[in-house]
Amino acid sequence: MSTRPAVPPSRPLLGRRTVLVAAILALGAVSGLAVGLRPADLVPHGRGWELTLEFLAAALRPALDHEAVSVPPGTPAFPLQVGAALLRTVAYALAAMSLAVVAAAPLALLASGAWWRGRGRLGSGVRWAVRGLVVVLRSVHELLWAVLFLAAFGLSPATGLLALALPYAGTLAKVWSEILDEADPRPAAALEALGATPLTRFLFGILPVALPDVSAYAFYRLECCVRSAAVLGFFGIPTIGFLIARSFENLHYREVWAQLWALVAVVLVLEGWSARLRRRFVA
Amino acid sequence: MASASFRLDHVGVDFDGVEVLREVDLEIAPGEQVALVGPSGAGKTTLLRVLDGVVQPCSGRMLWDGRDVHGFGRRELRAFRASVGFVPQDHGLVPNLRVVQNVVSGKLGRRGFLASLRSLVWPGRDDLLRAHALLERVGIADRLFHRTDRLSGGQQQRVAIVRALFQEPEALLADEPVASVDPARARSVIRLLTDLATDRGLTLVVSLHDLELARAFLPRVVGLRNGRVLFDRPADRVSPADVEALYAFTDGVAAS
Repeated sequence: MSTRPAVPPSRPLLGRRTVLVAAILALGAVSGLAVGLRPADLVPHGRGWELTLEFLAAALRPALDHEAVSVPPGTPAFPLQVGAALLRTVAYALAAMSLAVVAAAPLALLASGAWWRGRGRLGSGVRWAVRGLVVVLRSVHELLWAVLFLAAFGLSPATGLLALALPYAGTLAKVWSEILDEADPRPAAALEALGATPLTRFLFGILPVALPDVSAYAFYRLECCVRSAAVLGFFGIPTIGFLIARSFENLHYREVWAQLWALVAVVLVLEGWSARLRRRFVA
Repeated sequence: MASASFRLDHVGVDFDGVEVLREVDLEIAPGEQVALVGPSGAGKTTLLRVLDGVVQPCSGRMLWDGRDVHGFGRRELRAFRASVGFVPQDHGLVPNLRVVQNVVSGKLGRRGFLASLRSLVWPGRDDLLRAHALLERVGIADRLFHRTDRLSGGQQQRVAIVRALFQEPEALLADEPVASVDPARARSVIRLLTDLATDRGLTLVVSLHDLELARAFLPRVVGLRNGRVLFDRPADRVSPADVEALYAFTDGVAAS
């Protein structure tokens, strides 16, 4: 037998979570004011409009040749110059990712709980130390690493490679260790139950399960790395960003757009390629 | 092949203060075939995991071939686990490895690191022949090099059984092997397990929720409820009163 309550049961629809989200949005608005943003600044004004329109119009007519009336003798044709810079950009990204993968693999193992399971107490100490190192690696942005290495090595390939490889190793290590820890534990449990050691349990019960996601993430980061390598050009590393910065300074917007479209094309090609590889790994 | 005996004296297990097994007394002779029946949550899986050496009793003693498991060091524990084959309810296979790789991983408990690595990357002729023969025995020899997740649920279960046999175990434990198969298939799975155990002289313990199936195929039935042994008799002497006690309901809620 049940009695009907006098008031229909209800729960507050505007709970603490709503308040929290509103507070975060408000904090965003306050931050904008704090850095001195006025709403009027969000649209161009004066000469700004002309430049903006000129720049956007150039998107439809990317340059096929040097825009400057005369170029120094020996300068390669514009498409060749852009193509070479793009190749170098991809080469920097591939080389940096290779370094990052080699460095990240042991870090990811040591930072994961799955590796240390069943190995006693020493593990958690090492694990936290490695996680600290990983945080340091990735909390410094590649541009800041570039500044640091420019001071140390000057404008050399090592500067570009290390500036990319260090933060990318940190991010790979962090995400890989999380992937390892989130892998389905049941195969590993079955292997432990038939007498596997912690090492063989990990290598044959965890690693193969995690491998599709581990490689998919590496491919995704390779795309990111191409963009980062391009940006390093603004520091003088001879990637596509170097050409973009120079064209931009000379107000050669049609050249800038030719370079941007070419970069977009490369990133799209890489994305399609890595998506196909990912399907092969995961399916 | 040798077969294992188990003896449990007043075994109790609790997880985070919740008692899962209480004062379980059970003796299983070498080569015996036993069904473990009871409603969900009765402690069947935990009892199997105690027999498999994965869960240590919190109280009481568990003897494997007369040796107290409690005193085992790392190496003895590994040897114990390696000699008991366990077929988990979820099969516990690596989905993206080949069937042969899952099968030869049954030997991980008996091989050193390098031999294990080699057997998984490049299985030797003997391993391949043994894996093939065992898969043939359960009717899926043609799946040797297939990716494991391409197999049906029933075929994957047989891969898990073959992995346990590849261990060369002295006992075979199966946790709810017919939990999600139709009745006709259920009988053939249980018969496969009892036939394999009989052929090889293995001690067999199978947990089931279906008492009728247990009585039809296994000579001895142990009824478990709320972590206690309710009855333990030859299959043909399980009485209607036993059945009632095992699955008794009060007001639609299982009695505690």
